[in-house]
Amino acid sequence: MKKIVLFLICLSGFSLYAEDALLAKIDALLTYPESDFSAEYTIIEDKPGQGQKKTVAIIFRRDEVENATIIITAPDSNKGKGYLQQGAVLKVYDPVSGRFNSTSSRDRFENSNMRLSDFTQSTLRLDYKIISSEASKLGTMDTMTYELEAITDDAPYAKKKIWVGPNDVLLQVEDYSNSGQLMRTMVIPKYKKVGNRLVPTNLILIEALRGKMVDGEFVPEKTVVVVNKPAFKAVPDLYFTEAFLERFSK
Amino acid sequence: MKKVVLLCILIGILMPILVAEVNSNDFFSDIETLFDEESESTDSGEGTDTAIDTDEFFTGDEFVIEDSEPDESDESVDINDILQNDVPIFKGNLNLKIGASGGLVDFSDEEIRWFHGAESDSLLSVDIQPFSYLRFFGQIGVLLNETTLEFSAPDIRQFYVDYTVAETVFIRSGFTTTTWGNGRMFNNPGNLAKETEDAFSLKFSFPVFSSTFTGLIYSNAEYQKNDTAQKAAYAFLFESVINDISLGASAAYRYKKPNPEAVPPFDASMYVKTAIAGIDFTAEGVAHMDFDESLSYLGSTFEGILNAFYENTDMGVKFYSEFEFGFDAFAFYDRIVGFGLSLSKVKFGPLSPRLLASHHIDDLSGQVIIGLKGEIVPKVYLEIGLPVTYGRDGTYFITENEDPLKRRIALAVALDLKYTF
Repeated sequence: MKKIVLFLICLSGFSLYAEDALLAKIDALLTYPESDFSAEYTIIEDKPGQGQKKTVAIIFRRDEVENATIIITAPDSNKGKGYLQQGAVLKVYDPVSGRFNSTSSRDRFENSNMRLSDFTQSTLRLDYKIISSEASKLGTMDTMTYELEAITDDAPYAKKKIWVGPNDVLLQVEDYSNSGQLMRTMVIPKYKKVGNRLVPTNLILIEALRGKMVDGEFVPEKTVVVVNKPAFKAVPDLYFTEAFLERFSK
Repeated sequence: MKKVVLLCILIGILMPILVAEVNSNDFFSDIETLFDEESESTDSGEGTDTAIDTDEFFTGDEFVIEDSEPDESDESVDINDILQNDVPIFKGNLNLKIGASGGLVDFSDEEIRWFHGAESDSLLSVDIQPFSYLRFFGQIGVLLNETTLEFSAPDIRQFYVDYTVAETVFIRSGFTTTTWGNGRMFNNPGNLAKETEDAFSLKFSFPVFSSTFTGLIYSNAEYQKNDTAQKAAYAFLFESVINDISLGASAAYRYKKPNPEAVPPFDASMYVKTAIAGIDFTAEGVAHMDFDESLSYLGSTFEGILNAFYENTDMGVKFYSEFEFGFDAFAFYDRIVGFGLSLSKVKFGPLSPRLLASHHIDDLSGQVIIGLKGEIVPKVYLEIGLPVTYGRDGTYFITENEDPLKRRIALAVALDLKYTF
């Protein structure tokens, strides 16, 4: 009996370790601690009844110390507005008042369907635990689906469902509220190999609650994100300071 | 209460006439603090709680892992492409506000005191950045005189040069205002750079490990008149982040002014800021140290603030509160407490509500402003504000009341046209 209990404990421990390792592996795919990262994000929002809105932002990341800088370069009305992450602190710079306010990675980026956490390094292992898994299909692809539950207050959503493809590539994420309400679906249909790293270069975000009734049918807001010029090159330290955002303010 | 209702009715009847015959008014400044942000709107439908079919993205060859092309391998974000502009960029902010207000000088006043008028502040700026490391920026402004309705001569609001040395040190020099400190509502005592508002300044910032050091030297006409060798003031700010706590320390040294009302020559300030459950909490303390001309210590006074700030763009909620106080070896004084709240997604037609309340704990004066604001037609905002000021004559909020007639209660309605190019 003792052996069975011991075996079950070991099995449970191994299972937890394996699940933890999987989330860590997905994080590792989307996190670049060995090098600075920079890219240009083009975000096209399609709001039913309102047409399309395009925002362009550049991002610099230093995942080793959890630093990131995001600066909006278009449209002109928001040019120079920036976000600065220094460790666990995330600030937004308002060029009009010249002041920094703290913000949360859960907050929307410029009232779009992107969360600030979508720009920065993946922290699935720190924020979630796997509660179930099953084999699944996404289109014609064989995938594994995992249901995740938040274990920290910092998690952007209370629950998630993720689809993982071959080589543990993250293909799709559904974000849920605590009550189980679907909030958002994120699809990653395209990655680019830069050096020996994979970078998601195309993301599609579909809101479950934000949208409009058109001809009696709910049409959700959609956002397409195209990541251009991904690079793993050293970035000057100055780029991760408030002074750098002040330099961009127009 | 009857008087307030009467005010509302009168405003409704007389507003079109008052707007048509604009004369003079600077009452709007009273309610401006309520409306320092744009309202936002988001359409929403009933939504869906079922999974969305995304299979189309993963059929056949839809899922792609691209290899970098050889000629793309060196492609990366270049800030030169973004910052550099070979031709000057002209930008402008045009603003015209017209409106009217009626109110009572005292709560027992029998007569409603009216104001109606206009105000305008237009800015034109030119921005030249021939290289990513070098930038020239100038801004002139024209103000519409609220009393005479005449435009002022254009004056220089800002003129500065930015220079970045080897992507390591950022320098900004010229006539431009630097703001430090964490105060949001009242006097921001931690702003040791306040004198840069009318000074020529040189500011330089550079990273020190994961922290930032900023040095500041500034001077103005008053400093230049100083008989001693010191013609400038010096200040620094050191900021760092440890885990989820932001820390900052600053100090300023000025020459000893002959005016006894002048600020003491040495100031030092420290702040601690962190976010708990999405709310920013800040504590800041400032010491004003006085010395005589032989640098003998004369004594110190202290000021401090505690504030909280919360913003949720999804819910359209913005809340902030602040407690400001002064203290010395004997007692606390000038204790002021207040809060502001805006609910941009609560709608009364196109208008959304705001509330600003402040109270002086020691002299029992205060001010409460209830407001509504919204974009009624493109570029035109309607603002309605009801400020109520209370306290004995000579108390803080009675003295600071920006109403030109020092009315204790008033209803103000204004149309604000804003255009930016």
